[in-house]
Amino acid sequence: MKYTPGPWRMKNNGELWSHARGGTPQLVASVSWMGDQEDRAGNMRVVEASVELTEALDELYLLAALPQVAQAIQSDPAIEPKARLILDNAREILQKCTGRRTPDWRKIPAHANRLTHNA
Amino acid sequence: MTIDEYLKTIISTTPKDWTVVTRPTLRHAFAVQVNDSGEEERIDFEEPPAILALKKNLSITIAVGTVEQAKYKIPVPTPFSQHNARTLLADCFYDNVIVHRERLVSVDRQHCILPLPTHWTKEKQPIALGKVAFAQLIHELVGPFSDFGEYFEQSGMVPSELPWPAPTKPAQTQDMALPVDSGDAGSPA
Repeated sequence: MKYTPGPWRMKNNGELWSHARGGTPQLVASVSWMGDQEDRAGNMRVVEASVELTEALDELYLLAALPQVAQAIQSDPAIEPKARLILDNAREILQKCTGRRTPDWRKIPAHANRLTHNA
Repeated sequence: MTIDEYLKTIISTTPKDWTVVTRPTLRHAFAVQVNDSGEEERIDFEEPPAILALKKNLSITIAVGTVEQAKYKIPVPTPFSQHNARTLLADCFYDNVIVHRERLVSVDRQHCILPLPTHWTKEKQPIALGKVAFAQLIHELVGPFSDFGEYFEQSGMVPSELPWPAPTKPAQTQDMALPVDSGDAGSPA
């Protein structure tokens, strides 16, 4: 599954543009805002940052799935329960965003530390 | 030092031989930004995410990670063609002078940094051995935590005895060919 590369920038008129390096800006969508006026600036930032946010989460998940990191997390009872919640949640969000199965961070083999596989 | 000696020095190293300096790198460059009509709109600064310095010879540094093409299209049916890819620059410096520019491709939603083939073919992508070693070094130093070997194999790339850097811009012989510059910037004094 492909998506329009970031960074995305939104104009005040609701047009969402991709300003990807190496090309001319590309219109991604035109948004009609609804709901509370006070939420719009925040909503705009969330939408603008979504591509970079997902890619950053992807990389963080890969880091957490490193055997030595996963092992360190699991061996510390002070952080393991919370970390498990956070990482399981991150996994669900990545699956939702990419449409691909994301392996459990505790079960990625050391010799093949690849995050995603085609669903 | 010749360019061949320079590149051989780099690919004979391991990640432990390098220091990685993250931003600020003091390697800022101007980047012209265009509007949606393709007209120049403004000039921004851009900066590579990291500088690599060879511990045993600090004359050798690499500015790595600047995105060149954020929407790079890997042709169908090449593996990873269905996922986002981008090309990255690895600018190699000798005594603070750029002497070589290597283009890399970040595939599978930026999950692995691989060498950028000069041409994509329907079968295997032959890649010069030195180019493979260079890309693997960069991947291991600053790339995501993924397995370079696994991705290299899955991508259909195969190591070859092709010269690196390419002496001249090769002719485009395949119908899947994409325009890619060899990117050689010269040789050190």
